[in-house]
Amino acid sequence: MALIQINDVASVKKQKEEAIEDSAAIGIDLGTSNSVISYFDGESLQIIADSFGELIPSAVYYDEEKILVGKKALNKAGVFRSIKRFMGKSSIDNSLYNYKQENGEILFKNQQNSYVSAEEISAEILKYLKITAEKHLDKKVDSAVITVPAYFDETQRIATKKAAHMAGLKVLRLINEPTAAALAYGLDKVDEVDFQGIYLVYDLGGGTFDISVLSLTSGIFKVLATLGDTLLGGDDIDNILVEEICASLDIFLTAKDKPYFFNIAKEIKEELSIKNSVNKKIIFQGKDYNFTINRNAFEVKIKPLVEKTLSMCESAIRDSKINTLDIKGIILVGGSSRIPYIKNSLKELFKVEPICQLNPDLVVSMGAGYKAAELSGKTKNSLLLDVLPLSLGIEMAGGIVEKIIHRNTLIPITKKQEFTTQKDNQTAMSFHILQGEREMAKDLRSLGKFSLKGIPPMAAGNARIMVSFSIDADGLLSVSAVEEKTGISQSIEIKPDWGLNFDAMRNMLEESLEHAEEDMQQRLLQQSKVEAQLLIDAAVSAIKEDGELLSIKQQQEISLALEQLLNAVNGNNREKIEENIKKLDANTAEFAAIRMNKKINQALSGKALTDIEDKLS
Amino acid sequence: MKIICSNCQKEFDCITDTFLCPNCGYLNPLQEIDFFSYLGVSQSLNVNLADLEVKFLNLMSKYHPDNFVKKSETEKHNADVHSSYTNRAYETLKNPTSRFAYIYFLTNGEEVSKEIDANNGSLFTEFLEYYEELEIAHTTNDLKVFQDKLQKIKQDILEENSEIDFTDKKLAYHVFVRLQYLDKIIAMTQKLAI
Repeated sequence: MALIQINDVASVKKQKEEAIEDSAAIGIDLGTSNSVISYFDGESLQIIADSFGELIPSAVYYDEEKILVGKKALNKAGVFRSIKRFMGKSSIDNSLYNYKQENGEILFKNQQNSYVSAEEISAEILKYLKITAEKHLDKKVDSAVITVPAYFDETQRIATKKAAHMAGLKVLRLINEPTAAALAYGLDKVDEVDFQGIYLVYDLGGGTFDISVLSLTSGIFKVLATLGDTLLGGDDIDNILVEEICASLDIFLTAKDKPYFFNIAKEIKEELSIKNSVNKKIIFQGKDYNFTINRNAFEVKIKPLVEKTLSMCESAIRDSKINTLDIKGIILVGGSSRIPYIKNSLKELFKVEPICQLNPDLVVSMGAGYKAAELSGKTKNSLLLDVLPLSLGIEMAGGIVEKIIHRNTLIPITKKQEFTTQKDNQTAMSFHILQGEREMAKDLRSLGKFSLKGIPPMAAGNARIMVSFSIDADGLLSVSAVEEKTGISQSIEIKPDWGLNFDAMRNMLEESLEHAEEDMQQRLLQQSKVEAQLLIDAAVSAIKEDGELLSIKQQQEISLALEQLLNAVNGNNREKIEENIKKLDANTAEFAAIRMNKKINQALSGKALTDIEDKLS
Repeated sequence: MKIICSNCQKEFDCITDTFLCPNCGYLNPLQEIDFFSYLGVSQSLNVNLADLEVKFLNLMSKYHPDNFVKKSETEKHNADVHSSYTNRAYETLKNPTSRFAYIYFLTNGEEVSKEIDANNGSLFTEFLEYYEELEIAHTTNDLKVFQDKLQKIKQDILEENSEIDFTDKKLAYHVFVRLQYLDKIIAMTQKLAI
């Protein structure tokens, strides 16, 4: 069987074989702004801090001698930050860093003027986390459970695995961030029937906002829906406060002043979560200022932002086909979820007390730490069932997409579908693998292409090509194709096409709903075009073979009908195509009968009557 | 169904014991077995969904690849195959229409045609009426009421045909098409309700 893999899973799997006994497995929350390491030894869970703290900034700076990661890199000019946004992307809209595109990959110019990929930068962060954990635990760390956003697609997950591989870490499992948060709260413990139900995970981080709806039954998690905004977070709240300070003190900031004011804003935001009113002394251009704000005024300012997050919660709930009151609990994740106004608004909307006993900055990593201990055999395994975030399919003739595995299917899964050749004596077939919900290939994201060669010449429709899609527990895809009649097997390689747009998934989902009707029309049109093309091909090959059987008049009639159909196919009028298909069909009916007679005569010639009777009986 | 463990060579029953050998704990490769036997439910159009889910979760907790992280490549591969098969079996049997199509396939050794036959007169009239009803349903509540009605009709079809003879291909096909049509309209109603 020709097996292809759209990723380096094969190589990762090979090295998975090594023993895990004498080394430790850690949990890593590889965040956009900060990363967190945790370790569970079977009895207690610890967060592993570096010399600066538990939250390790996801920042990398390439210095002359060595590479700096974390707090040390943070204040360097041109430091790489929020690199997670670029994982698995082949085109970006970014003015922050210098970059070039090479072989479909984005390469960033680092501070030493050489080029590095987002995976390589992430690998540096992971390397630093690995070394930090090894120093702290005083043993080798060779494997990890790494968390990714629930909406991360195929390419983004592969990119994360690649980064881990480069850092010398074996990925035991990629788990979704909201699922990790639920694990940290121990919601997976099977015996606790009380915990069963549907949970909302509200994750307001520094620069991103994610909502996930999880269902939990008998210790099994399912992600029902996920939604978010990659450009909304706690930083926006700081921004609002900085604007408020400037307005009330009547001052204008230059770029140089901003870091100082953002730090003050952060302090005010955090203090307002505990106090009702905050007073700050601010020094600006040698002058002393006093700024006072109370919680009420702050809440009025952030109201639009909070309401935006709440309406996204409601759409995620609609996506999961449940009601707001079905929500059993809301798990709070991300530093900004500490804001009392957010907690209260959620409580009011869902009529449940938010779950926030654990530190919302650390909770995702904690869940990963527990899972790492389970997978390395330290504790009993609980079951995590994930679903596929976007449908996967294959491009068919005319640019139509045949969905092989639908979105929200439980994984792992293997599905097979049979395909056949469209033309006589076709010896090769190419497959274009796509991801997304819409009907036409051009509207979906391409995951890769491959071709199956060496199909023996046969009449159209006779070859049987079985294509199977397999998705493993990490959500990674491999595709294989085999011609069943001959069993031809050849190795097929596919280069990953990093054609990724970070927000593509959400956009694609929204578009698929908006364009459902339009898509259907397009699909019907394409189907007619394909049907017409098949008929044209059949007629042409019949004329080539048996044209001499026709009278001149018949030949002319068929040629005319053919030409009209060809013209119609080039246009976009479906009715016209259908009408001309009928015409050509009618004109060729007699021809088909003549050919059939000829075939029968050929078959019968030179055979004894008894032979024929034997065949017929 | 008796099989011989490919690790310790002892015989065991892969339906009552699952494919994990009760003697040595080895996960044996998947063998040809239908979804009903595999999940341990009897072959019938009426399946107790709660029971089906329990059986599914039980199998999944045994076969999930997470349990085989430290095992050999062959056993890991077996876990991939088994967990995929478990998911597929569950998804097929969970939904009445695909369950119906699956029993048809088991009985007749061929797939029931997936294409809806638009030339079927009586069906056409029946479903035209539903479409008209859907058109006049405006409020979310109307849609909800209509959806409940369709679900009830679907349930009735399943009950009426609980003893259906699947070898009667023509009849089975007719019932299948009705179920498929209903699924389509229910899906449309759901979409409108959102």
